[in-house]
Amino acid sequence: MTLELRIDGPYSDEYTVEVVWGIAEAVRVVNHAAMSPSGLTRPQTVNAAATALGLAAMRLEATLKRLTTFLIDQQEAGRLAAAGAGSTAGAVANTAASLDQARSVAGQLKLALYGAASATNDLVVASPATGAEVKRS
Amino acid sequence: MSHRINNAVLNERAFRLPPGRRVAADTRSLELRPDGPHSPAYTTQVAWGVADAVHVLIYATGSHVAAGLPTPATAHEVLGALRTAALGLPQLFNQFGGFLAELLDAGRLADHVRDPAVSVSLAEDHLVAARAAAQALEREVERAQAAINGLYIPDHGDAPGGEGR
Repeated sequence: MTLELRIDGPYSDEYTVEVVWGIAEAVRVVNHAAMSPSGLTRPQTVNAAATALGLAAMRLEATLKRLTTFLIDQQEAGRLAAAGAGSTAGAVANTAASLDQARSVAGQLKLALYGAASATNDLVVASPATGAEVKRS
Repeated sequence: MSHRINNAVLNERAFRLPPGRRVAADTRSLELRPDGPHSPAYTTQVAWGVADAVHVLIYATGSHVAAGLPTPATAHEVLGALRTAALGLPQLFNQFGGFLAELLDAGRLADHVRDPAVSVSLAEDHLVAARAAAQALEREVERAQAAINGLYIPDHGDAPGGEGR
């Protein structure tokens, strides 16, 4: 699939869904790449991928916050209903609590990936050319 | 390097790569090919595509929320896809850790500032934490998706039940 990323839109229900499933597919592709002998050949790729995914986790924190805001705004505007015997307020509160927890662990993911990126920042594949100027394993 | 990272200093700038490390390829149109062909540049490009796609989601759920997130059903779908993405992360972090350990064991790693074994050990510690966080993220997103499942915006004329209206 080809994922078109357009910050300036146009936005729609379908485009949001397409982008978010594109994220899931992109993670699958990076997984395949990391298992492939040609997709992961040097530590700089781990560094770059950890950096990018750390940034994604940071942006996910913001997205999860916005999902909570969306629900609360809809509830306050009286536009939401709950199916069956469920309470709308209860469902919104439960969803918001889980989204808050998700946001918190997205923050932990961001910190961990920032740490992994920092730890790998100066790693290179050893070679005769680099051996004289770097520490070797 | 300290294991402790100050969350307050982490912003978009903190995740900038040194010149030349980020692939120049444009991620505005990202081709997703699980079967390859794979290369380090393509791996990096797709990883940056994840970050750029979440950036688009910020707009879709923020300044463009009326068009980008019109109903709780869309939020439910968003959470389902995010859960699927989170499910794939622990395996990926295992791959990263295993790859670095393999290079180190083979004596193929060097480091510009310290013993590469120290760098790999630090990286592994952080990757273990990242795995745990990704697993927790998947669980919490699943909970949120289950909780939002029954919410909807009634059509005009519906007589919705429940409280909070």
